[in-house]
Amino acid sequence: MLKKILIYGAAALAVGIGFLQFTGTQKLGTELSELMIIQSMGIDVEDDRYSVTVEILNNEQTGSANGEVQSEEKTKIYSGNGETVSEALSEIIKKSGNRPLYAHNRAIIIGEEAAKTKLTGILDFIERDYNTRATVPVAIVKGGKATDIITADVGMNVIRAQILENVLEESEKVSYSQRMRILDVANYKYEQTTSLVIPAIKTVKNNEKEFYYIDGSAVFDKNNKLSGYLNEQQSMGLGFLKNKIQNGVIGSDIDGKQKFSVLIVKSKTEYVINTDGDIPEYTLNVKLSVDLDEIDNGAYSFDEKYIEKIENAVSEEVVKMMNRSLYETQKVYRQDCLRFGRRLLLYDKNAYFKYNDKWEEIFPEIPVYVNVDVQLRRLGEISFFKK
Amino acid sequence: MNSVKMTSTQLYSVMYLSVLVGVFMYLSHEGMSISSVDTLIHSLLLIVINAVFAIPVFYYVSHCDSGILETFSLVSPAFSKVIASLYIFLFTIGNIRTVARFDLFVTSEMFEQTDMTLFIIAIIIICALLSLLGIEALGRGSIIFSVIVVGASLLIFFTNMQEFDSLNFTPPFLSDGIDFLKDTMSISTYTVVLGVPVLYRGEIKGKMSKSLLMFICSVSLTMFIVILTIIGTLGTFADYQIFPSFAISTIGKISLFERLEAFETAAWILCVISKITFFMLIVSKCVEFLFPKINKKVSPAVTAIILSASVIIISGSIKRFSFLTSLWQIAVPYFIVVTVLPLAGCLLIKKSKINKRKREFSEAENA
Repeated sequence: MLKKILIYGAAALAVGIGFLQFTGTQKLGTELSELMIIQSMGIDVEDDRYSVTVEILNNEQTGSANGEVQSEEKTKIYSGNGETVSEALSEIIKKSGNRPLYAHNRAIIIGEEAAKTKLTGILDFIERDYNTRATVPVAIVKGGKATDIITADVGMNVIRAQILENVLEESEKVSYSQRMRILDVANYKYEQTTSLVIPAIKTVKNNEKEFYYIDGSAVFDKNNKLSGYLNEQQSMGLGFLKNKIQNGVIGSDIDGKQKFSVLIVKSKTEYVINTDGDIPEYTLNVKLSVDLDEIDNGAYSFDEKYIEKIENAVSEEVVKMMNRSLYETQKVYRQDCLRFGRRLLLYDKNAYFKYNDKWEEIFPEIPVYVNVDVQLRRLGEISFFKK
Repeated sequence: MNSVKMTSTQLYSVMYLSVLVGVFMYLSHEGMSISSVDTLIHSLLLIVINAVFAIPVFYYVSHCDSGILETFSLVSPAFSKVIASLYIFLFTIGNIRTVARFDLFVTSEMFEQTDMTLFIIAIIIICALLSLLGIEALGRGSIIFSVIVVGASLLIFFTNMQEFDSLNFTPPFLSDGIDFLKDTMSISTYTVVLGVPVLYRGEIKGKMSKSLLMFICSVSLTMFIVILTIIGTLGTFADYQIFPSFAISTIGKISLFERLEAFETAAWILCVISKITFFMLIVSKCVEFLFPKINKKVSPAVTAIILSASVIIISGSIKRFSFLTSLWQIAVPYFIVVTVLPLAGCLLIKKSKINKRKREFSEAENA
């Protein structure tokens, strides 16, 4: 009997302690209502001091007998300042009287000024913090402050962080930008030859209401200082260059007249690296499968030549996007946010170790050849026939 | 000798859980990168390394029916007591390392900014009570625990597979020859329990060699899967995580359910309880060999006090945890327990067989 009690007791203890992690009791001895459940965090730098704004769940809301929430907002906004991010958060703790819980954080937003000057320190805090999840997405505010994003008027009684998280996730699915979670940011940062590229976000006003808008990507130098931005098209080109395209829309035209759009179904970029010359050469072969979504003057007849014209037009458009993106990263910013160096390491480690110490000089000079093979897969629900 | 005999599967289940504690609560050694594909190769080479270093263990368990302490005592009772003391020392140190590592894990990943000393001491007391039940009871429980732990680990593996990124991998053989060998050895030191079957040979029913080989292969396979998941999911980020195995459990998700680390934590605590209890039992066995008349409750009680005291001392400062990552402090016990002591046991068996044959030959000649 004692045997059973002890063995099952030990098992129950282990499972019980494990499941404690589901709850706010991660902070032992703390009631849920005493916790500051952070939903999103915005970090700015003003006068060389950190300013942190957080959206937290309003877990002190009063409820009616039937479980409906009465009055009050679903979330609250707090902000604080300090010499470090940690100090700024301490000020928020003082104001709210609650202990922070980062485990439910949905997004980390960094203001432009902070991205220009203090990103390394901010990333250290985020990575070092015990219960920040490595999958939290990170974004940079284009031309603005993080607090404007966290406090944006995006609707009545909504959780802004939830909308923010959805916008960041969806923008990746339609290939306007590539998600950067904390762990991705860390990997880019730690790789010797790679520079950071993080989605750029801003708010746009429409009828007094604000909306979140992903506006390309922010490019950083090797010292994690903001170098500049890629626009939407260049960000999409970056997606093709990095083999990170999921879905999305590509618009083009046939012979400069007939405009059309296609939906991306599948995309794969294969890298061929030639290390025989003085510097490595990259050939990128993109295989793209698309469905026709719209043609502006409604064509109903498709022969093989016409389909080929569409495919060629899409191919040219993608090549243009990729080349623009390459030009910006290679010639303008001179930062390897495409992970070309990392790919070289995987392809030929001897060549990598020959170039890695002077990669910043070599990367802008690397010849890159792009080939795009487009297959039009479907024409939509409209039937196709030859007259 | 204990009258209750256990099966080799039960013993290997306990040993398997003990190794998993090291794998899950992996702390990287100085200069070793877990995010390198070399670590995957090390985990596969583990089969060869362990099979080679454990040849004396294989020989001993297949040629002798009694425990190594009993074998030594037939030749020299005094020497066997020295060996028993050595086992007590090594496994007490091993247990202190386990408890300290668990303390670091609990206060870093589970309940940060909280002094968990009392919680750890409570776990130690539970383990001391469990050790009173004997190795056979622990063996039975460990089979169930192993199934739970393997299930939880596979769940983490499958939920992380969609997050694998080919750019997280590195080309093989990035480190040079000496470092590669050093890192392979450092991975193999996690299987220090490989030397335990010689200690318990007298209490195990039937043959052990085949299941010992199965144990070596399953440990290697488990390490391979865990490291593959770490590299595929985390990449270089893994090198900057104090517990990379825990970090991967926070990444995978099933639909809306994202807190899979809760399952993993529960599974790990089961492993830790099994390992601490197992090491306490080994120490108790040796103490009882040294002092046959001693009360069975004394050894677990003393071990629990030593472990509790060590937690109180070590927990206060991160500098005191440095011994957890010192390669030599893990490698030396591995060689002693897995190779040196079983080899000495094998030589004794061989010598006694030769002497027996000589005696028989001279008796026959005299006759």
